Amino acid sequence: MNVWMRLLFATRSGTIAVIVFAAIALAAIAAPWIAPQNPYDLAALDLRDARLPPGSVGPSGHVFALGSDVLGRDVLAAILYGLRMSLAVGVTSSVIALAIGMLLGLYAAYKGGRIDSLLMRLVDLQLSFPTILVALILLAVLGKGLEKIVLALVLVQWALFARTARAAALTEVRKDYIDAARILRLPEWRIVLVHLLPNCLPPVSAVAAVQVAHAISLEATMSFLGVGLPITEPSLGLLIASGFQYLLSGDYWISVFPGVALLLLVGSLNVVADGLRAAMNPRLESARAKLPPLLPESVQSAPAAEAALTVDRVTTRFASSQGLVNALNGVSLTLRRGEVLGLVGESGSGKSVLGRSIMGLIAPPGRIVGGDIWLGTTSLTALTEEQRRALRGSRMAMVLQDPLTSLNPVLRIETQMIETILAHENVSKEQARARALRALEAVGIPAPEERLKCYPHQLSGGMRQRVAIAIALLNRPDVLIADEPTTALDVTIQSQILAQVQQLVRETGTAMIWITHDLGVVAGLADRIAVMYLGHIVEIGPTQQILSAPAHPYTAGLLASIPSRNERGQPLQQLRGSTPSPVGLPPGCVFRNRCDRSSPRCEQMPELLGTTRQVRCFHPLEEAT
Amino acid sequence: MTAHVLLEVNEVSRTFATRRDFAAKLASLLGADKPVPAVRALDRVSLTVAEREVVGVVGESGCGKSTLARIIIGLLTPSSGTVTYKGRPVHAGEAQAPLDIQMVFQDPTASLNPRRRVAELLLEAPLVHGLCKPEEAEDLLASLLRSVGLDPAVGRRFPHEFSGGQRQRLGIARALAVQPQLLVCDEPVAALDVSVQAQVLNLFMQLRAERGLAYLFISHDLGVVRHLSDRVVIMYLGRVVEQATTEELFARPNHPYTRALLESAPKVDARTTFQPIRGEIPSPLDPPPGCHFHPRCPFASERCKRERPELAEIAPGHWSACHLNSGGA
Amino acid sequence: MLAVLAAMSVIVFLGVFVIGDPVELLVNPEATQAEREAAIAALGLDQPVWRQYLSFLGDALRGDLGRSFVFNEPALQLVASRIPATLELALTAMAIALLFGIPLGVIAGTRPHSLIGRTIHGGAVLGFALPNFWQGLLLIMVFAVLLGWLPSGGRGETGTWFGIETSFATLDGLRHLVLPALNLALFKLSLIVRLTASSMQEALASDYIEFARAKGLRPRRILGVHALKNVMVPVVTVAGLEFGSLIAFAIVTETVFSWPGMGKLIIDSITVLDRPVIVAYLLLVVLMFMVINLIVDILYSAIDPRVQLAGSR
Repeated sequence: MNVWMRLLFATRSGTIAVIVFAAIALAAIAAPWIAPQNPYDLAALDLRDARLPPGSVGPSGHVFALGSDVLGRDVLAAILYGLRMSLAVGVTSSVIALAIGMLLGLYAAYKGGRIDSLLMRLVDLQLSFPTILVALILLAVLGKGLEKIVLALVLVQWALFARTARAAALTEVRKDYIDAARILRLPEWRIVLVHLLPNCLPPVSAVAAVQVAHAISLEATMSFLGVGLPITEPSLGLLIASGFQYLLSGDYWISVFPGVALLLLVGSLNVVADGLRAAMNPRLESARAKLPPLLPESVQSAPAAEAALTVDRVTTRFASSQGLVNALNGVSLTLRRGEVLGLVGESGSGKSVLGRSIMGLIAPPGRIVGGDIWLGTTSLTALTEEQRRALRGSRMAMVLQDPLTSLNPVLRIETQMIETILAHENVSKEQARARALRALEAVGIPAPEERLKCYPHQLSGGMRQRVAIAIALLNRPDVLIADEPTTALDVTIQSQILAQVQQLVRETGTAMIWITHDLGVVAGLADRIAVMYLGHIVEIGPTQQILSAPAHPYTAGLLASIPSRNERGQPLQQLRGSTPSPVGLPPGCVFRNRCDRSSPRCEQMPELLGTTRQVRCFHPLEEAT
Repeated sequence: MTAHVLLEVNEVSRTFATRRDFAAKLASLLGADKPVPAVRALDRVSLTVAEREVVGVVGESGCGKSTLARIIIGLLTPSSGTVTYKGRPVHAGEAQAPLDIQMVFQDPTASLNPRRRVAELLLEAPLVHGLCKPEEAEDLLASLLRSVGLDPAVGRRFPHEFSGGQRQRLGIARALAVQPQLLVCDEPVAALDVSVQAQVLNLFMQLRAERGLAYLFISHDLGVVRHLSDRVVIMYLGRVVEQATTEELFARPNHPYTRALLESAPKVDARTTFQPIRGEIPSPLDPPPGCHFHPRCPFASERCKRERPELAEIAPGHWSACHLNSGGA
Repeated sequence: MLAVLAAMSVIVFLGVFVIGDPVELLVNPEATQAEREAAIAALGLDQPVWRQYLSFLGDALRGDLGRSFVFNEPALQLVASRIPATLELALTAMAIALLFGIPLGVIAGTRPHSLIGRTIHGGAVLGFALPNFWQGLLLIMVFAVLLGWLPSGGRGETGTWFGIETSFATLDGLRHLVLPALNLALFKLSLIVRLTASSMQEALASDYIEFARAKGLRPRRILGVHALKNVMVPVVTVAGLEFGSLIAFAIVTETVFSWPGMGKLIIDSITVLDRPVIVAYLLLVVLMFMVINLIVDILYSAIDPRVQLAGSR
């Protein structure tokens, strides 16, 4: 239950809407007891009271707070009765349609195959006709009446529920837990009802809230058009219709007040649905969290000219619903011209955040809160955003992990290449295209002229990653940041790309940071290796030294657990525990709770000591040099 | 390999029809009915797993290793060929695959129902199948959790309260709950952090020793497979290209693809220069004729383009599908 | 597709067949039994259902859907004569929805947490909720009754362009068009705003936008080309599909604003059970929907390269 509470009250507007809806619903349910009269007891009405403005006292002595209608009926009372009917019709029809649609949708998604395609064909056919048209035809055929309008509304709505439930179920069915349940030979009904159904409810519930509103609105519309409820039944639509002709003469209250009531009911339900959707969207959750202010600027002198890139005590934070994420905690490193640095770390180590911090791509809810980044002798934090943009893609470039998503699916390769040149240089389109062609050749793409005209989906993952690398190197950057560009690729393709990149950066003299979780990848590629853990560089040094004689216990543990460093079939050496959350880290060495060498001294944070061989540890296995 | 054969996969093929897209629909509407292209995900694959044996299956994307896993555990039926478990067919009519083949999945998050508590996750199947009485459930839960190295008191928690490695342990415990003899593991450590991988691999080895489990261990990571497996099967585009005991395969890889794979795998211990094989992995929709590997093979000849090489025993227990072994290419 | 049309003809025919007895409405209550029977025979209502359907189908294939009981005109012609009025209303409404909906959606999608973004989003949620007929009443009350700026109903003076009567031709016609078109547009406007905003947010969070930023593209190009081109794929698709529903929703707007289109005709025909007109309307609308769906399919493959290519490989 608390899940639902959290979803319903996740947004402020959602909370208000839930309260408004609850108030209306209560008033509607209590209508027979709180309404000033029974407006559908014709004997109690007095025709002398007809069309009295709000607040007047009629000849019969009745006080009409919201005026009276043509029959001398109290508009307020009629509204309350009308709301009651609206809710009854809307909720009943939606609940029935939900039950039917949900079961059909879930079963179709679970079974797949012919049952699924048949059902979905039917659903698509019905949904291709607007609800209002279907409802109109059904009511024209069925005639007026309460049960008839409920039936019509069920028939109008079931298909949408079936489709929503099926869509939700399809994403769930593809998840392994359903396969696991099948493999455990659980009965089919149990898989559908116990495993599938609860996980499909949240998305369906948002649709259900909209559908109740839609059903209410549709009932009112049908009644307004004269094909819904008979005039003997309470209905907001009929009430509004009865006042329509007096609207032009200025007797607004007969139509307008019921309309306002209808709007409040339907509107609050829609806002509830909107809040549910927002609450279920993980992207929106962190938006409200606050980021800390920038740390006071530390005055730094420009770094040595031979460094391609200098990262100086960079600290990056992200706001999240759990709290402040300490993604980077004062990271410093230097990259020499033409050097390849392997940046190694597990998930949550901050390695990707470091890459994006360097590129200036950290956007809210994240922010660089301290430190400085120097590209050559240019301080990036001192620049305006436009100046930084001019450097991105020209003097520093980046390749992302997933080649399938990093190219724009609706633009041709040539467009995406040419624009990269034109954003930085004033050359003709033809010149830019010729350069793009050469760049594709350089990354080993066969038939580059044809590839230029392709869209990304026409190329394999490996080819797309080559294109991305070609784009990154188009303007001969000083620094290339490669964020796990081969992780998503197959081994044989990975080795092709590694060979190609190695050759390219040597030729162009581009310095490169290759981010990865795989020590094996950088073993053959990098001049130096930096190891990150929880937003800190714990160790940095020449590749051979790090691999053969790691100094930090974490690096040593990682290396020792690699199967090829263990005797086949024997238990692997393992690090204990797992990486703690980067939210609310206690002070001191971040690795100490998993470390065999830790001592009380490790309650303090060790410094990164040394020059060629730097280690952040009080008890290193090898001394810093 | 004289032990009892537990699982026998015999000449199993599996094709999938592809969905027709809009253009194809339009074409068939206008009368130009093309045959719907089919993906041959598995092409006459045979292998066996003996009791207490660990068989590693290695291959890149499109090689059919996941399809193979799904067929073995009975989620898919083969288009042709048979799978038998202890001599009984797995896919015989309505009779479903036996409960003692279970699976461990790649993604520990997606493989646990997020709305079920640990106790429900682990005990549901044994209770449904009457493998344990309700009054014994407590004890079973505690022993399951203990056997995968988790605190027996976590039964009331939800999966999201655990780390990735712990979730994978829960997935393993769920499979163990029905006392399986064979675990099919589909990339079970690929989604885990490096420092946690070793813990889970150790758990697999420990369970094998304690419970006498056999594994079909699917992975793209040669190092992991080498460490764990007794025998290794190499697959390429739906076919088995080589299989041998682990020591034999890594010491004397025969098939050019196996050799390429071994050379391509990143290694920590030697500063290697990358010497990749050429070419892309062809689409399984349109595999090359003859030997699937011939467009990328440095030794390919005319024969390789025409004729499919059959799997042949080149040394005791070492099988390879390459024309180079039978009178040259 | 023909099968769908044939199935629809059966459904429509049977559905309409069950509706009441038109004879009661059409024949003078004081008529003699002989006169009644003559009328029934003249309308073909004495035949068995399947005969009626076959003769209906035969006539339908020749483009004859019978004569309206009320207007005594060929039903198809009658409905067809109302199409231009409805189409011009729907087209104007769609134009309004797209013209305002896309820019508003882009603003709301790029700045979802700003005041303006939240205001647009909130407005769209409410616009989605407003019952269409009541919203029409409000428009009439404010702009016609209180302010007196615009006429409250009717089509006004029309001119003739290329042989088609249209309100676009005269100022009076345009004045009459504003309120109904606005009323019809508001719901779709909200829909387009929400769709554009959510697609925009999704696009902006994607890797290709991150990569575009890493390439150093100017923000205007990132937003206007990279994001917007992807956003347009679902927006154009949905806008196309929703055009059909605009024609259906015109029923309400036309009734409220006394707009002489197909929608007003169908409501009037339902109340007097004018069977041939109802049948003609439904078949025509079904036909229009199918054409629209086909156009959307083609349009979709034209704007999304991923769709057209799969086949030509």
